[in-house]
Amino acid sequence: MGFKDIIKAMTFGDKVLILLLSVITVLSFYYVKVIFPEGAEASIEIEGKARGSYLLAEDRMIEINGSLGTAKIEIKGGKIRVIRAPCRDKICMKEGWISKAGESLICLPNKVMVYITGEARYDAISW
Amino acid sequence: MRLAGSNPQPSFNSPLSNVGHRGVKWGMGGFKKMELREMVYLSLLATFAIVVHSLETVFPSPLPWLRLGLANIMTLVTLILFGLKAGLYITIIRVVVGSLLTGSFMNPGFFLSLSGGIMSTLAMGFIISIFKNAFSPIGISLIGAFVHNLTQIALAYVLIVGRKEIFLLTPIILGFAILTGIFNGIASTIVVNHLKKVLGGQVGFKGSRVQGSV
Repeated sequence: MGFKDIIKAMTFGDKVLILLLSVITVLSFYYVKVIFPEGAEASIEIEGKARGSYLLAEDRMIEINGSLGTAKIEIKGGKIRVIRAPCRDKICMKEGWISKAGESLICLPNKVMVYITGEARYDAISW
Repeated sequence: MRLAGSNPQPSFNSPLSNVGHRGVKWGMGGFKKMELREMVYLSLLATFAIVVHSLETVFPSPLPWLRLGLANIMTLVTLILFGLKAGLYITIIRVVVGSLLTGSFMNPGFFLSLSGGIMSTLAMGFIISIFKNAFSPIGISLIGAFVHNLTQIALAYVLIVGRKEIFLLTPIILGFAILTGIFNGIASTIVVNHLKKVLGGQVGFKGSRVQGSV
């Protein structure tokens, strides 16, 4: 009983199912994009205190002095990432780009936190 | 146990042939009516499931909930050979004993695997009984993987995280479920066919879904 026999033993139902589930998976990518809006602003906190917020629409480089050293943060094309971090593990750098409201980049050793806000700002205004 | 001589049915229907899919005597008494041989098979399957489940927690994973779900192979094999109730027994035993071994008993993760395991077993069992021959083990395993992951992510949202951002993971988890589902389905097919070969006609495999595919 080789691998080919197993593939041959797949029924019509299997193939339909694989196709259907693949379509659902691809649709879920789209669905997530619709449900979770792109964030409008990135807020940066150092040691729990707000350092400032930046519009994601404007490309720029930000230098942040955390408790360990200087971290370099890049905003480009509506996304934000940490380019350089002084810490050992570089977890925040490995996270890569983030752009959706609610996502965050956290560097614990350096006590720097970057998170994206979207709708929350407008809720505050309407209150 | 019946003696061969006293069996009025044809000779290929050996005394042991009332074990398995057709002949399992699950009653209100639970295991009381189960035959010794069948109990041995189920114990072995449960043991394999526990070992696989425990080994799997040792392997590193990029995301906490992203796992291959290899123990699902044992569940699927049990479902196909012994039916829904046996599959549920194996799943519950696996999760409880496996979590005791890895020290995660009563953790949030324990409830995630328990609910995911039970839901996927139920789903696969119903699929087997409703769509008799429409799916091979690959299809059944796919459904199990999907139900497992969806249950876990929904429960993680309700019980643990409480932030809708967790649903950002859905596409990744579903894509992963397709891969692991197909992989586990292929593995289950191999295991079921091998078990059939090893056990020969001794176990009542007439109801087995993979009869014609050997």
